[in-house]
Amino acid sequence: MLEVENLSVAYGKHEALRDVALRVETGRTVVILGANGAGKTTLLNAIAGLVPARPGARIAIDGASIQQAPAHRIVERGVALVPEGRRLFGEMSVLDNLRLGAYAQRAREGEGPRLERMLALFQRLGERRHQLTRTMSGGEQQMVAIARALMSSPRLLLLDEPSLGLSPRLGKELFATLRQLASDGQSILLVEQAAHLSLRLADWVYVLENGRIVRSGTPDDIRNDNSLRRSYLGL
Amino acid sequence: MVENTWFRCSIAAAAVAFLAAVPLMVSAYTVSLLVSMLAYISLATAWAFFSGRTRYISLATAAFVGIGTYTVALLSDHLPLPMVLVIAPVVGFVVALGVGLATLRLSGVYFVIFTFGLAELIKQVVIWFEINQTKTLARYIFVNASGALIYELLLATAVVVLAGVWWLSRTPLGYALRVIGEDEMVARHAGIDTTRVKVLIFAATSAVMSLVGAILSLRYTYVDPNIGFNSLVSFQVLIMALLGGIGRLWGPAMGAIPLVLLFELLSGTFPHYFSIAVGLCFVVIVYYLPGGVMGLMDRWRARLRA
Repeated sequence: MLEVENLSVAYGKHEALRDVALRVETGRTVVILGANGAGKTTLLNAIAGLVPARPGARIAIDGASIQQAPAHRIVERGVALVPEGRRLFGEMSVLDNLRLGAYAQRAREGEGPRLERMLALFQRLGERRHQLTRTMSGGEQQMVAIARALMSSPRLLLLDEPSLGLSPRLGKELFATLRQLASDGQSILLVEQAAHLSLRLADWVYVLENGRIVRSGTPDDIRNDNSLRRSYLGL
Repeated sequence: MVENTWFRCSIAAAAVAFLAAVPLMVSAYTVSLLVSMLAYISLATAWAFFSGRTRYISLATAAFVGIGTYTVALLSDHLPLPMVLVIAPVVGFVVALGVGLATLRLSGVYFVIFTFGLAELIKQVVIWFEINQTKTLARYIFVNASGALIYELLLATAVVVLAGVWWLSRTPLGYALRVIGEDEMVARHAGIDTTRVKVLIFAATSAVMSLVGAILSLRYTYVDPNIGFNSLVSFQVLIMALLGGIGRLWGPAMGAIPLVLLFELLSGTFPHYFSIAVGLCFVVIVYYLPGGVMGLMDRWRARLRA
């Protein structure tokens, strides 16, 4: 459903991404592994339309180009981003944050039932629906961020290091939720440093180094690659 | 919930009816004081709806008020008053639309400085135009408008502005504005066309300012660019909104009422030190009341409960 070809992004003279190509098939979970500064966040931001790509890139959803479309149009095409560091609206309640996620035209229809589904999927949010998100724990905030993105009824969910800053136990819980979403048929593109957890979730893996895709394969391929084992799995 | 809304609406309607009858009961001086209050309630509420929520602090209030004033000064001899009062906000809207498209990409302090410069620029253009083209530097406004008429017009404006803010705050557009103030980037990938929302609301609130400027000008007989485009107005409106608290429907109004009284007192007693007094008010409000009067009331309420 998502096709990216020839994607390069530069901040001034600094080249953050170079000739990146990747695909996400409908219903699949694709993981991008990479160290800090490899260009992971830039990649997701470029797909979401928040960072302009160099000319010549092709980013398409179901064959239709979203390259150079403004961010809000890309949301309408069914791409939602859970940004790095969550970026919630701290002075707003859980419910308000979620309602905001349904701002896009495509999400207005069926907003009520979807809200109920989110509060059921993330039970703790259901209990705390009127709480200001600023006062919630990191794990709960991450749930709000994911639920907010899902409120836009996305066909593809982009997640930028959702386990960042979470305790190992909360990280596991988070990945269990993602697994449930995936088994319900949600297409996911996940960027992570937490290699162990994310490899278990992935159908396909890309490895990003210094702005380039250096390797791709099934999770088993990556686990069995000696050089990658050392860099990412600490084995 | 619905009944509660109806109850509140009928109370509001009764209050408006009472306020509309006030000029029959009080002196001309009181009416003129109330006129200032109503004008500043509309200005501060409109200002806070855009600048308070988006945190794009505008110092262009004086420019849009002046546009309203000058629309009346230029057209009132040639067109009937109701038509002039329709044209003034339209002119304000159009100018704000152009300015907004050009500048709302600026953020933070650059936007503040630009809006301040804009007010000055428009004033200088008017001065240049008057001196070089029409060979005048001042104009007389001959409109037969009583204090009571001005009062009723401004009351209607204030009611529409407050009701509009109340209603818009409940729509997705109101959410969008708040969210732009908190994190514009997240707003964009929540699917909000942030440029459109910002420009639209900036223009709409500027139109309100021009309308208020137009109505207020009816009480002058004489106007020149320094009166019409008085940059002090921009700061006064800002202080009122800050004093009242910008996050709430009634906040800016709660700031406008006491400050109009205070400014009236100060300009009556210390006309020569007025600017100093305004400056001191600004410092005290920002330092001691960062959440405004409404924030203070919240704190008291919390303390009473505890």
